[in-house]
Amino acid sequence: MRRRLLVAVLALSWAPAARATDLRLGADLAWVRDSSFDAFWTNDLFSRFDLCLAYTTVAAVPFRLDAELGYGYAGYLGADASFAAITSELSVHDAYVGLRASIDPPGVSWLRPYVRVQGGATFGLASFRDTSADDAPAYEDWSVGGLVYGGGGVEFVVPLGVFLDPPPAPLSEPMAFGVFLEGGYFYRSALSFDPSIPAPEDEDEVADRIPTTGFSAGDVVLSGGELRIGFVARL
Amino acid sequence: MSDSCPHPRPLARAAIHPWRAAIPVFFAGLALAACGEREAVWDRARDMRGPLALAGHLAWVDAALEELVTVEARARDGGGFDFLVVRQPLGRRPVLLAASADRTRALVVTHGTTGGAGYEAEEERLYRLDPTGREAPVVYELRSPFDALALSADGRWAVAFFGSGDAVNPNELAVVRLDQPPAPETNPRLLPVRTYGSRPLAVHFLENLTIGDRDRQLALIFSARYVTLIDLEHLDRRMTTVFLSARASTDAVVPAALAVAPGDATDPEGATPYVFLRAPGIAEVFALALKDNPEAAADQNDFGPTVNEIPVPAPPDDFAVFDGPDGALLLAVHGRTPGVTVIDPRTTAAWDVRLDAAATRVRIFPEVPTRDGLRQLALLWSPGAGQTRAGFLVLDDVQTRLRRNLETIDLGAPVQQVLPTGDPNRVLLVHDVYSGSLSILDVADRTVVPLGVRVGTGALATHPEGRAFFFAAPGRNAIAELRLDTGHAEDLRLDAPPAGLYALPGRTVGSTRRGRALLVDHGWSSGYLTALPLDAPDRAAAGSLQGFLADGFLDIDAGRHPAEEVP
Repeated sequence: MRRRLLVAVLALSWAPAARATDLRLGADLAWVRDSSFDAFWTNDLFSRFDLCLAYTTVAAVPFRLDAELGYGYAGYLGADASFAAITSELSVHDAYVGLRASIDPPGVSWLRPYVRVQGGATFGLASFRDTSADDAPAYEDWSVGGLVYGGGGVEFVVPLGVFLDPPPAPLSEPMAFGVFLEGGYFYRSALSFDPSIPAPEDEDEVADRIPTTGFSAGDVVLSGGELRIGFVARL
Repeated sequence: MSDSCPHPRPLARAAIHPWRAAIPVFFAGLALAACGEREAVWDRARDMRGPLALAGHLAWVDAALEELVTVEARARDGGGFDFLVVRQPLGRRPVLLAASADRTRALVVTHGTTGGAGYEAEEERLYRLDPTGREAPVVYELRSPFDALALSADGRWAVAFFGSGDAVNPNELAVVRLDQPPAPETNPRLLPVRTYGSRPLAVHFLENLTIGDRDRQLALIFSARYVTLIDLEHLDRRMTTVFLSARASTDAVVPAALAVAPGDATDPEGATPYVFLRAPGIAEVFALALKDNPEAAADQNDFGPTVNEIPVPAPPDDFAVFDGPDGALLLAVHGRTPGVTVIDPRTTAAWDVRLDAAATRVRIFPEVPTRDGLRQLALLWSPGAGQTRAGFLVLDDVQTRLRRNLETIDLGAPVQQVLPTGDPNRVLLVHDVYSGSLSILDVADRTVVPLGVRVGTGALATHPEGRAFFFAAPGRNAIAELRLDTGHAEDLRLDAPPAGLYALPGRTVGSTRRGRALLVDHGWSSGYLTALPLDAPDRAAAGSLQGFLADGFLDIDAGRHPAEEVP
């Protein structure tokens, strides 16, 4: 029995299947429990936009393995730390590559479960403004950290051809569109900020300035469980 | 975060319709939002006390985060400064920041908490902290929420008391031996002051006061209508209460200031020091003679006070002790007359001298060179109030020469403050706050030299060895330095306007002094300091530090501050 099953799996993996290019636009909602995130936002929800391009590298019906290249962005984060009289702002840029393994369940062509792993880098740009000094420029710093994401979900796709009968040639399989729902865990290494007030652009002014040391604001941790929802277009 | 928060349920495999699947996701998101409130500490109101100048550090108490923040500016060999910022945790609800007598330690009183809302109960405490953070803090359990702290000049004693009177028992106080480690019940020692209708208003120390043939360590507690003497080395003995009542007035005598005349140690009967007291609105000086009493019972103080009420023409506004031919004399100045009264406490004899210009302040110069040799001189002036004249009274033989010893000169402008300089016979006159002008008064030759510096409401600091003054006018990106040896004044440009100036002498570490610097506080909430070499301030050797009061704020331990306010 086990031998037959193995043979069936091998046969399936070598069966021809359509390769595709996916374009995904997602809204991600992470639950960041670390207190440092509270410096930049007034609750624990860290949401960002994500754009991901995927290409099928291994396709064997019903399995498919896609390689991914993506970019995530959150640029709106800002909050006051009353005890320090500091207004903090943070924008986060993620760049990552990943692998996504999916399967077509027999008889349910429009539903595709998948798991994915991603790894890459996070770039954080933070500014801290002293609320007591109206004319004081903001302290600024940037930091780079690593990221790893693992999760799984389902996508609901409808082949574009179902709306046209018969579909024109360019809209033939695998062109499709749909939505995806996904859950996972995002680990980011801590972003460490040692901000200072940027030096003036004028070189003479810089040379004339008293040498100034900034401070160490500490680390912000952006790891947490994440929900993703978005649109997928398959080309 | 509460355990009762709903957690997102996994997507049901049966919910295969896309929009049905989206519904639980939506609600899961809402559940996350409901659970994910910001930690309470981030909404705490800012509460910063300081800066306080220590020997080689500036110190702040961050009451919101219950931490002591210290900054040391360490001069580099090639110019410039390195800054060392240290944060040390304190107890709950710090309310008071003070410096030890030698300014090498910070003292912080905390009010603790009764517990609840995530906090464990904590007693009221007095912390003695090394600003470098290298030594563990010494923590004295005060056990009552005292809001005032009196410190002895020798650094050995502290008395915590209720300065505001807002307490269940405002007559309680705590005596702390700062030179000894904490000990349950004995250090600090809680004492109730015997009350006669008032409460402690102020605490003064009479350290190393020789009574008879022994040095005593006494505390003198002011209350309305009486003072209380405590022998700090014998707290088990009964306190001594001395009642104060005016002969010519029914008003309550509320002591406001004291002056001490040491006794004559060569007296065969033993030294008898005098403590002089004055009270607003009372035209009398109270002279407490403290006599040795070796026969006292074991539970009584072995000294006894006697009080003399010595009338003066008007309520004294200030007084000072000077040396007379037969012992210490008191010079009391009363602006209402205007005049001064010289009092011999041994005989209660008094000599009045009428002044040409009203004066309410006195400063004694013990060795002023004159044609007749070194003389004691009193400078008599009145702060503000449009009075530009000041009197100089030679104190030697004043009992016989009276007004003939008086000279009055015009200072050119009203005087707000008289500050010492490195030269014992020269003082800095800070004129009224409107003009903000300054001048140097030479008491030996009675000359006034106006300075081309105006501080207005700005800041002023004195070189620790009296070599120079530093001024900062509001709104100007500069400070001015006046060198007293040469009279030369120099402006020094900065990158931001100063809000405070601190001339730190430095702390001794082996054979070196660390933290010796002129620190300019620019007044930013996040902290902005500029450090300059104290002995030769120079922009080229300056260094600045910004944001240090927010240092490490992302790493705050939210678990240590579970609620927005401490219960």
